[in-house]
Amino acid sequence: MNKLSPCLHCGSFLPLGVRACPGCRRSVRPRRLPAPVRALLAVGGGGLLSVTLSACYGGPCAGDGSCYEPRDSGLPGCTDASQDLDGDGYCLDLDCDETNANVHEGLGCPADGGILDGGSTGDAGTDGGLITEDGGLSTEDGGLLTEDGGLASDAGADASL
Amino acid sequence: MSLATDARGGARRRLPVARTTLHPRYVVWELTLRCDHACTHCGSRAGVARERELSTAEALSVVDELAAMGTGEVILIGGEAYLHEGFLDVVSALREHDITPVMTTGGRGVTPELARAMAQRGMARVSVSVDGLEATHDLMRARRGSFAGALEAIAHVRAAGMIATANTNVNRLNAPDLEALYEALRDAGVEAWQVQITAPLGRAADRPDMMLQPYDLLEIVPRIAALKRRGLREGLLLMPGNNLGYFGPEEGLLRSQDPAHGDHFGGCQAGRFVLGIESDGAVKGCPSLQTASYVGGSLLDRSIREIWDGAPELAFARARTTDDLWGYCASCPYASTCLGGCTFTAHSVLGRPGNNPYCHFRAIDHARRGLRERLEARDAAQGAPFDHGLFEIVVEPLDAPEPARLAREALVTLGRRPAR
Repeated sequence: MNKLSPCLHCGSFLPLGVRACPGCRRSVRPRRLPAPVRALLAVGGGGLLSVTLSACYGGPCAGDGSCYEPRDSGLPGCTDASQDLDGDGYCLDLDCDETNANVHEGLGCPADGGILDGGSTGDAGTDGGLITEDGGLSTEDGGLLTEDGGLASDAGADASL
Repeated sequence: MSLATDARGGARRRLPVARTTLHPRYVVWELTLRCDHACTHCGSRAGVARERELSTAEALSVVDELAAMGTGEVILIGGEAYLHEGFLDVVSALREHDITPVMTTGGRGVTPELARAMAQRGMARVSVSVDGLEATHDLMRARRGSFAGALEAIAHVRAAGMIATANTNVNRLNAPDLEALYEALRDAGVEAWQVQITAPLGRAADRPDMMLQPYDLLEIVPRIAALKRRGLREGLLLMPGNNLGYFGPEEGLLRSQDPAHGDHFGGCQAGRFVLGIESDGAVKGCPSLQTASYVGGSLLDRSIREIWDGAPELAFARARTTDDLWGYCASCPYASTCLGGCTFTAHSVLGRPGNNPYCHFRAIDHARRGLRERLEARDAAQGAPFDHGLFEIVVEPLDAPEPARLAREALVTLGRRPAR
């Protein structure tokens, strides 16, 4: 038996392979930071990166084709590669999944704004990497066996008493 | 004394590394069906000894076989195990084979002398069945003075140097007592308390009004979890029986000795690491399984090894998959881990395993949709040990009118008379 990991939100156990907790219905992926905080971090990080890049390679893009161009230029575009990790034209603060170009505000984010996993990553690690394959399970007996010699084994012993 | 400490030596501790290959690590052994109680909820309808029970010599031979199969612990039950003539000899033999002997008892006959003798022979722990405060317990066990006797037994067990634990079958009669019972057990010096639900087996099957309804779990499991938290602070370890749960938000807390461990139910262990022996030598995968459906053979005819290895009646849980589940359990997100919960409980309700309405997650899931499942008694039981009747599941609105609560005495009177 594989040992299950608990939901970070409600403590219910997460069956292997689920995208949302059966107990609280929330995503099994780690909660994302609130959008304003992400935006602030992005601006700060982007600014720092911009200064660094400018120092190394010159100034901002002058429209000569050598600069980063968002793939989806028909939509309100993100022009800063440091804030558009998946290249879908949506910056961090508008992209509900910055790891997947097929998921962003323009295509309709999950109703919960990205807290719930909209299935964007299609990854094996629906838990965001928090759950190991076996959860470190060591008890073949389903938790019946105990270190103290089996207190739990009394289960059922008294059905007839 | 710590639960992890040997009752005799004090220092010896069993290795925490368990054999992971299937073997009867825990054996629950009904030494005799003879009993000094005739409890209204008794699954084995104990009272009178079975027609042919294992003699002391035969029982000692069984101990040899268990040792050869790697058994680590034997829980002696009855009836009352101490009413078997070879009870103390069996305890000694188990200890000599390095098998931990423990016992579950109603406690009525556990005198100071018997307790001392048990301790001398190597009994490690004694779990006394306490099913409520005095009025409830005595009513459920159909004997005035039973509660007082149980508490005295706990005191005698402790005075003799053994670990005193307790166990409770929860049902509609005693559920209101849980918090007060916790305090009574804590004050009596009980170190661990096992709580499980009363399954409609045996005499309990004749009293369907006594049984919890599945939606009662919505209220009872959180209460039990609160007692678990309290016990962790106050030194009384509450552990759920294998038929209480499953997979509600309190599962990890309830199922773990240390909440940090995050244990959870992992499927029926009957015939995997658990074995049950009836006093006439009948072998089952779990002591509470229905005799008519799950006996794999008799020790009067075959060895434990032969039955363990060859009897299909013991192998069902080894090969169980989600394909064996039906009803709600078949589509449950926990199906592959839970595999339908406790086999004997599900079987006692619906006549076959794989769909268990006594499930906390299931009750929560129904409640989210404004529904609840109510069990309606249908066919009566036959009247034999470990038999069962049948129920039907009625799905109804969560706020459906609750049938009028019966008086306490009515809950323990026959609700459907067994066929014989």
